[in-house]
Amino acid sequence: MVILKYELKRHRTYILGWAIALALCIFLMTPTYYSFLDAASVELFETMGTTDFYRSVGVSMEYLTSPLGIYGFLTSFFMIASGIFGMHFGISIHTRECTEGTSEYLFTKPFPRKAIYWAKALTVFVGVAIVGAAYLLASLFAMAIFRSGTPWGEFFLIALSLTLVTLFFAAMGLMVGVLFSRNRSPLLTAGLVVFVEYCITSFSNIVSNRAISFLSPYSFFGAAEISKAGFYDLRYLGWCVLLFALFLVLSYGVFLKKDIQFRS
Amino acid sequence: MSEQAIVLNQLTKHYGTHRGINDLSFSVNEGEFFGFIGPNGAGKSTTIRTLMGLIHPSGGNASIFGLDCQTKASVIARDVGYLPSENSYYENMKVRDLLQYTADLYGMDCETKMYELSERLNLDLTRKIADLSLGNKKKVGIVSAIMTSPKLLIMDEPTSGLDPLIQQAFYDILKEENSRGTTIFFSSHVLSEVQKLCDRVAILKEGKLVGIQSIKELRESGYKKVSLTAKTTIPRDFWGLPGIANYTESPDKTSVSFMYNGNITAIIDKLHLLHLDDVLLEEPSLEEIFMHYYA
Repeated sequence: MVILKYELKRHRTYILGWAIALALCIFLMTPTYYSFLDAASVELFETMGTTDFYRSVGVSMEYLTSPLGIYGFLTSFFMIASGIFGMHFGISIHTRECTEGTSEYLFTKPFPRKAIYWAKALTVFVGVAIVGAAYLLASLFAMAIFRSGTPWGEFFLIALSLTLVTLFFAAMGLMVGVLFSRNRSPLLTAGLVVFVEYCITSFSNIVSNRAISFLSPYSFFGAAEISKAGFYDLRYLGWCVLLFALFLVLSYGVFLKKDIQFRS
Repeated sequence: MSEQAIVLNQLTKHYGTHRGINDLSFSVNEGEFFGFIGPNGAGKSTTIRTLMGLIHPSGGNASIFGLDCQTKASVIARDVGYLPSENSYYENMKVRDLLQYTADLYGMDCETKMYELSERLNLDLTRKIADLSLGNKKKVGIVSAIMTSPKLLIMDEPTSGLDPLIQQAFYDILKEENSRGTTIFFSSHVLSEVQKLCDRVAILKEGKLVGIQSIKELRESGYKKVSLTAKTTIPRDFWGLPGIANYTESPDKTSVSFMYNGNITAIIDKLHLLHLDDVLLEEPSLEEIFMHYYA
């Protein structure tokens, strides 16, 4: 608990910064996009419907022009940002000890490595939960203020999917951070991985290949599918949980055994 | 006080094809002030990091207070204060917060000792670590290592960056801790400070243990480096003394230098017989000790 407390304090500004940024973005952009639902904008949507745009983002024109569709569409883009946050946080919480040269301080204190690992993982997960909660609350306010009659069950599932995707990337980040603890560019790494994952989902939507979609968490939580089915696809959910556990088990195992890396 | 605090048994660490340390075996007694010297890159930090459980040995094993350094690192850490050679502290924290973090990690209330040590080392607790000089960061590490009153202090190059006054205060603190029964493992590449403080010294060269000696023995059989320039030529057979090694002379034979391991009065008597322009009688560097004493 001591390490968790200090790690949270150490990353307080970082977590709150992301939470406020994402909350503000969804709160301000939701009404902006709702204004597109007028007649003139529908023509634009129809024009876009002749391209692969809708397929690549995994929605239909009808869904996109519904209130929840707009929210789901926005959320799918904010998932890129939250994915970068989750992965960057997961990587950097480990790599910072090496690049900032603090590993010799922390790892020589009377705490076993497993306690340090879980304190760091918990810090990341608490950070993700805070960002997710801020996003959910801001979304809730935005929907309640700007659009009444929202189907709340589906709304919560879509809003929660941002947290789940972020958690997934956080676990992946923890693994990458443990495996490559000398990585001096965690933000670049996170950005690249998240972008590639997003492209994989777009590609799998365009070529309609479900097998490829299992390679990216963005496929697991498509807003249109959630609205259609009323819940997450259980096969995707199970696969997501499996990968999440795999990332944690792998990073935990390596963390316990590997030599601590030093700045010099 | 005859129990062994640290035992190394054929401890070996290789980094792929790179040499780390090779087959180190020695022990440190409880309550001892033990020096660990060697030039940069000799493997001192590798040895210490293996002792602290930070890196895993390629072969052999080490124990502290009878506990295996790899499997019981966190249990051992409770009784160990460690000062790394590199400053390794959270830069965005204030000194007081970092020291409080140390106390919290040990589950101890160390406030009194923290203030006492900080005062003696002239360390400002209110400053941010990022704003501190190299020497002041080193002081943070010293206070952090000592304030928990550990049974064993492991210090890797502790005086680098400290000014002479603070160095003296630090030596005094270490002597006091040692007199209270704390075992001290003191790594350095400065022979003079090890000679000043330690009871015994282990000398490391290229990852291998060259020898372990008591400081008394080292001092008694220690070499001096003699360099001189005279107005006249100095024939080689002029000296006629045992214990002269590595004799070099200038082409005109007016300047010579050599290592001397013998009666210091005898060499001074010989120097009196020369018309000297300059003379330098100094402690040889660690490298020179290795080359002449241990070769």
